[in-house]
Amino acid sequence: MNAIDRGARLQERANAWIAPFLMLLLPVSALALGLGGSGPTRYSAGWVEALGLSLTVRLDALGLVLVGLIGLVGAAVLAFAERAEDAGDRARLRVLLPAFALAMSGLVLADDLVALLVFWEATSVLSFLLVGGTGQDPAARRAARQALAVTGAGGLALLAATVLIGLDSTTSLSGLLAEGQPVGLAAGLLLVIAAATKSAQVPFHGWLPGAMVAPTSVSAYLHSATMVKAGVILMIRVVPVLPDVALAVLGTMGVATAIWGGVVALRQRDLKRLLAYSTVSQLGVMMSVLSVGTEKAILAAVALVIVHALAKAALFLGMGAAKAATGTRDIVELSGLARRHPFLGVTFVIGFASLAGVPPIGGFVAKEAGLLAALDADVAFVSLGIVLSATLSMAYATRTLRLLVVRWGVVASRGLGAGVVLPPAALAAVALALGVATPAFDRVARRAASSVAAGVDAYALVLWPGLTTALGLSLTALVAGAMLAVVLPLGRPPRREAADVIEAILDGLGALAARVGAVTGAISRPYTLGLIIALAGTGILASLVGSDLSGDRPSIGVAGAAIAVAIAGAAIASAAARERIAAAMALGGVGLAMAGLFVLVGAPDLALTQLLVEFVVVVAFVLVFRRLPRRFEASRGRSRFPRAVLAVALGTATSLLLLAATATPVGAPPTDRLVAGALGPGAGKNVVNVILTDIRALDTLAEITVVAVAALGVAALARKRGSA
Amino acid sequence: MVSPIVMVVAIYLVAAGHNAPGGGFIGGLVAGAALAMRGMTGDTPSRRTGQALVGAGLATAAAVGLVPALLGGVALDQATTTLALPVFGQVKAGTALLFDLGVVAVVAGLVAIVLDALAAEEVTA
Repeated sequence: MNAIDRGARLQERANAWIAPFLMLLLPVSALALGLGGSGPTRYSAGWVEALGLSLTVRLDALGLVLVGLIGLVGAAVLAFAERAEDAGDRARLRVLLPAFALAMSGLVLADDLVALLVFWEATSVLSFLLVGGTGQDPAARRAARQALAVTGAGGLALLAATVLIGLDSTTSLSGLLAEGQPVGLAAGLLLVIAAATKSAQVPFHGWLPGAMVAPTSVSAYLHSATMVKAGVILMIRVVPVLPDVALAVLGTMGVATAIWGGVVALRQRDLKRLLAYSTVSQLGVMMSVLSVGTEKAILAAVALVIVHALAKAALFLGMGAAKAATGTRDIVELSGLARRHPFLGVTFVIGFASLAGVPPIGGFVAKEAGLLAALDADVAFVSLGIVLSATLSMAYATRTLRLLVVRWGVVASRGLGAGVVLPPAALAAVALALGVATPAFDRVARRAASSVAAGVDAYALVLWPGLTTALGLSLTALVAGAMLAVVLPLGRPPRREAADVIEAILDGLGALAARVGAVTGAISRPYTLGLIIALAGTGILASLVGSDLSGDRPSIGVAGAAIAVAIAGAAIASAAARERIAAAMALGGVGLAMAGLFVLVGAPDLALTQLLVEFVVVVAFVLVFRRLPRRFEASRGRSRFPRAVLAVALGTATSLLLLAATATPVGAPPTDRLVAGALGPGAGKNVVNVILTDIRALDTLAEITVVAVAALGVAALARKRGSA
Repeated sequence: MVSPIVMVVAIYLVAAGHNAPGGGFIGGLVAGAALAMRGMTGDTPSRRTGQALVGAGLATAAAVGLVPALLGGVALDQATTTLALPVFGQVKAGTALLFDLGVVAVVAGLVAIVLDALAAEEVTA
């Protein structure tokens, strides 16, 4: 082995340690801030002050706990990824997973709906990149597209909600809570829809199981602690100000999701898909608990978020380890796995027991709190939903554990390194500790919940609630679930899945677009062009009705009049030209004369631009004309007349528009103010340029963004033509 | 042979833009034309260059806009200093010039891409 190889190996080994440790800084710093600080710390940076927008983050207890969770799970996932994933995936994950952690941290800390929306969209885009992988695999591309379409639609709903709320009161989350007024019905429903898309609630759940084509590490991170929790976290933040109808919708959706996810999970043989549907079901439980809306419910939801993130990440990573050892994810083929890999076995037992809510694991404490909250508030259908989903969870947990742990299997497997087995085991250990050391769990969850619900200190999470209805219901669910697992034969997974529906909708949209394109494309081009021109002209004329055209305009003098004549002459020459190149040149003449006019009225910058654009356009014309006949095709007399009428009409309309525009003074011209601004803060003598780069720099930034997008479009079109 | 000269003109336009006629959009047009010219005469593909320019330009402009926000000021604000340069004499230079360079790159990239696309299409058709 030479020095370079040794160096590369050393680098690999260093990477395997560095990335997870850097990620661990998140929970460590969150802990330090949480222990040291008193009360939430706000940090605000001006953003677009003209619109009253600022980038505000608030380090409150809820945010810090969630950041800690994001970092803890992230460190475990990265440690696992460095040892279990392919070399190519590793390099990508090393960049994308921390980026995702950053976006997610921003999301949980944001104290402003606008800032939250930005981070929200960032997680959508990053999840697209994570699920899509290298883009080589069609299945991954499809799954990534679905995830982006669904969560992107949710992002639009969130945007609409933000605008509505901003019009009504403030977009600051702490401000909204302080006001205590419920947001409008439309805004509330839009918020619920946004949360439902991100957190995979029925009927928006299809993308989540589809995203299971991604590598283990991605699924373990996105579907436990981060992506899918974004919706739940949004709901936790806004639940006190949601109108009742929105809460009812949230509850209905949550209960349906909790039960449906459990039913489908029970039919899976693929362990990863089973975990995916179990995630859907658990997210439903969280949403339905939140829909109760009491402070107790908020505490329970926070507890559920924490414990589910840990347990589910442990299970996903354990599943990845099992796949690495045996090459299969089928729970029947994995029979007896625990005898070969006892560590993995223990991880699975703790993880599944937590999902099913078996005491004394963290999952039990959290689910019990949720059930109590629902019973106390007398919301029968939420209570029933929680019990039913607990029964189903127990059923699939029992079935899986019977196969993996209890049964003697003959599964062929290879040994696993500690780096693959330890991360899931560590997460499972934390989930277990949350149950055993309930007082500590209680303190953390209660402080976090107190950020949203001030009176939460009246309640507590407990391991032994006493002989209550809730405990009775929980035990019934556990027994019923275990029996269900024994009685029910392992069915076949459903053939049609929700992902197919999303795909069908997306395909349908694509087909519709193609149809519209075909129809409009089939109409001859002169007609479509004529239609556009006619519409534009009508619009202009309509806007001019009743406006005054007489105004006091500065004279352009004799030279100006001469130039105007030249412009008119060149325009007529262009229209009369028989050869294409002659028409283009005459058109260029119009442009040149216009530039002259600009110089005359004292706009050299505009003139220079006009001149250069004219040159570039001529070059473009010449390039295009190489492919076209020299002369215009002789157009038939029939179509000449309407064309002429259209052209003259549009020209007249435009002239009238200009007359009207120069006739109506809209307040004092801003010239003096702009010139002063340019010479002072802008520090430049070319006022036009200072306006572009300093005073109105945001506009310019938006303009060059449009230019860049246009460039991308041209490049893509040209490539398509070239390859066809 | 012409394109280097055209490039110099473009650079002059951008540099002069702050106090005399010129500026990012104009400089970009000229630079783009120079690039396209080079692409058509030689065998340097101007499309790739154009794409790189568009991306780099947008990133530059956005980054220049963001820096003051990160330093605690208002986004897109600019800082100025006066430099004594050998040929130009006393020149006031601000970060707006950097922003303008981003504009130049985007516009130049677009022109290069479009002209290249129009020129290439004929070959493949």
